Amino acid sequence: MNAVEIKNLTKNFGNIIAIDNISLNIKKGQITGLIGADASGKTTLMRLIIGLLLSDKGEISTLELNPRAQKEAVTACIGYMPQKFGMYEDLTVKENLDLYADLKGVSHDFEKVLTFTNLTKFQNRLAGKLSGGMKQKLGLACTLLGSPELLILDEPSVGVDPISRRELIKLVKDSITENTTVLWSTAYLDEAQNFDEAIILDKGKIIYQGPHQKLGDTNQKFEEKVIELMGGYKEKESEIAKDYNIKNTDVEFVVEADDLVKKYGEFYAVKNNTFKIRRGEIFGLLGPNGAGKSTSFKMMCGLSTPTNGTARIMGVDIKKNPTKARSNLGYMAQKFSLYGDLTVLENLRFFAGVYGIPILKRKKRLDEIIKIFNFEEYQDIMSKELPLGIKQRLSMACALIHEPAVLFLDEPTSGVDIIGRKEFWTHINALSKKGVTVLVTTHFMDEAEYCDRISLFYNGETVAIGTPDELKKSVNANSMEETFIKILEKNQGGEE
Amino acid sequence: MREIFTGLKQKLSRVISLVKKEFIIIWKDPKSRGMIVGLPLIQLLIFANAITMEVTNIDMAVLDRANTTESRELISKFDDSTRFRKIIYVNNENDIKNLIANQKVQIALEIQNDFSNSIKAKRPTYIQIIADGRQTNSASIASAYASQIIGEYSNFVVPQKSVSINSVIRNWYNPNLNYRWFIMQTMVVLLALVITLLLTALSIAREKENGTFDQLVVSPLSSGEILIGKTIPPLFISLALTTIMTIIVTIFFDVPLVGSKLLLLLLFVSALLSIVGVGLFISSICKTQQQAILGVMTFQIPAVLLSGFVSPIEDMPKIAQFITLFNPLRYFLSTTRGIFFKDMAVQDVMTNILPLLFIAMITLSIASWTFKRKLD
Repeated sequence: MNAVEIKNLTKNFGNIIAIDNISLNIKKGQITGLIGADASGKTTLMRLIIGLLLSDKGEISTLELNPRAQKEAVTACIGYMPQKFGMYEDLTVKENLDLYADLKGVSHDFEKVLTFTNLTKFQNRLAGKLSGGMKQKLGLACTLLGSPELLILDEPSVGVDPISRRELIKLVKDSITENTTVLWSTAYLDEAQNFDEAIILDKGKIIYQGPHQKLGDTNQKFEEKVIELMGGYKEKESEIAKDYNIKNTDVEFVVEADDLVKKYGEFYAVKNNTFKIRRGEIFGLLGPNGAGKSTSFKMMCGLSTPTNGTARIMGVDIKKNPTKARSNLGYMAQKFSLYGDLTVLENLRFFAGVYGIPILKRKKRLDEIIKIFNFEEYQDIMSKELPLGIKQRLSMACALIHEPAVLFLDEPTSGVDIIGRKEFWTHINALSKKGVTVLVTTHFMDEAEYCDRISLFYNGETVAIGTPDELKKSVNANSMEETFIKILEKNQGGEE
Repeated sequence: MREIFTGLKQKLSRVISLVKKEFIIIWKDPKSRGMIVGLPLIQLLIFANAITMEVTNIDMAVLDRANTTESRELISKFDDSTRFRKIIYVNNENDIKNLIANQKVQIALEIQNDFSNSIKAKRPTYIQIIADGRQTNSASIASAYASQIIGEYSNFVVPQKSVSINSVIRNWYNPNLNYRWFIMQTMVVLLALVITLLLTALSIAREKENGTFDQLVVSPLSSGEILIGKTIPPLFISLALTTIMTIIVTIFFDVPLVGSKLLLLLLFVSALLSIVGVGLFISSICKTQQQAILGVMTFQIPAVLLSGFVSPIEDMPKIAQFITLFNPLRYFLSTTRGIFFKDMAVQDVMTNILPLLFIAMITLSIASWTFKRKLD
């Protein structure tokens, strides 16, 4: 028995192929995971299944109905939670539930759903004041109203802390009946073990469908198999790091955060954050969304003024002498933030100028960069039209154009597929061996393994600091995720 | 010494890179390209023909109770006037009421039945003019025309024996009261205001929306350098455009430009600089382009109303007069007019340019300060 049947489905947006001739069946009464990086086609596929998008070719049958022609009948049986669930931040938890119950025409009996989500205590709190994990739970609660037959959940766990992530999947498992079908999309490969069946998408194609155990029973084996299915990845020497020259410096601690505090009104976004990063070290700020790692990061690069404390780069206070401090700094933002209307070459030229590469040397440096990063075929393309992977490479090129001694990376790999991430970390590792100091934020727990030292963030505070191995040993855990959960539990057990 | 020199060179090179980038971006975005070239020229042409405060084509109702040679003669004077278009004869006051209420006519004339007898008997007589007070401006102008015609007729039928004072009106700087001169010159200023504001207000807001502003802030560019880099391109573009519009109105619309062209250019630079300052200030406090557009509206409407274009500044309440002192448009508009039509003296132009530069200094400083503050 299948809840969804898809045959030869194709969907294009202009020149971009979002879904490339996919055929698949989703079994009824199971939890199916849709795993893939950004732009792999997850959201498009979900929206096609519930009739929010029209396919170019192929057939879809959702609960034995045609999602376009019989949209109303389909809508009545499904619960859809989009990536940014449309909750009203100025309404309380209870008011949001009331609203969605009215919209769905179901009874206002929320006792069960509130207990399940542990939101009973918070039902009079404004939705906007909830933590990231609780917001997702409320979104899920609203989606679960009316006990839909088919649940479509678009990345419910992205950016959520590991404890809330576990709770979310448990919540779904507990609140469904035997006949409920769940389609859950995610960018994290390690979530595969939660699903009865995993569908792995890559560039609009299905590269694997089946139980995750078939690929590998541990996360690592599973990951290796997925990489193989995607075409394989061979580690090679980093071209970027090969000829990288940085200024020699006597400063031992290249990046220093000294008692950084950020207060918004009475609320502490960051409390007493202190760390020192040695030359050539990769230092990770790890934590869920809203834990304060972004704010700390912003204070470090001078994008946010700390309420208290100082941030120093190569011994220079970023507040007192920003221009000097930043000339040693390469910065890569979370989302693509270069000039979309400029071509690859124009972007590179601009950043070369802004970072003070002398005019006479500029041409030579640009040629070098284009060669190292393989931009030859892209250099005259507007950067907003580049494929995701190339965009990321361009961001990195712009950050490295002046050969900075310090590199700040804000969630550099979010949305990038597993091979892209591996490649990225190869470069970063090689650069750090050359003496580049790296400060990186991430919410991928497994990426912590690439860091020399990490600082775990929770509720605006550093809860632990040390090498990944030290941290793991300190709580007897096998993975970084387990480490994080155990450390948090020790520090008063998760969310209030 | 050497160090200062290299420092300056680096600063300059950073600013040049930023300026270049701004030009490319403004030019590449089809929306801003349309805004720069298309919009102002089209508006200039449309408004040249559409906006006028002259009152012509007045339709008038007449209730002629006298119905004599004299009364008909008077009415024929209205018929001859180019200001009045249509004369509708009515038989009672009710008809007048209806015609005015439905805006079929703007003005009505009521002639008493003893009109001719009084004239012959050399007794004073009255003609009632009824105007539509809902349209204040055109009502007063139309009734002024009407009383002028009546006055002329009165002089004609009863020539004053004693000494009379006749006035001769001469309009300096615009002898024929050509309304288009006034409008075209004002349009150049207003369009310059709109374009400059939009160009600058959107520029930083757009970067904030795309996340590129963070990139700029994290780069070695200081906030002063960002400010300079963000000031030069819009200033240059709007200056070029204002100059082109000035050339168009002088060549194709025969608006006279009697004053010094150099002074005019100097005025343009300082006025546009002060507007760039306002635009950048708006941009620095906005997070999105949408907010920036709203900000532009919020500034623009009062700026136009308090510029002296709609009503003379001297007639405004004291507090409003005080506010106009901080309105760059006030100086921009009146000085442009002065240079265009009457060859305003250098020191008079300077007394208007100084406040503009002062406004530019204040707004640019606040904008630069807000960049830093708003980083949070």
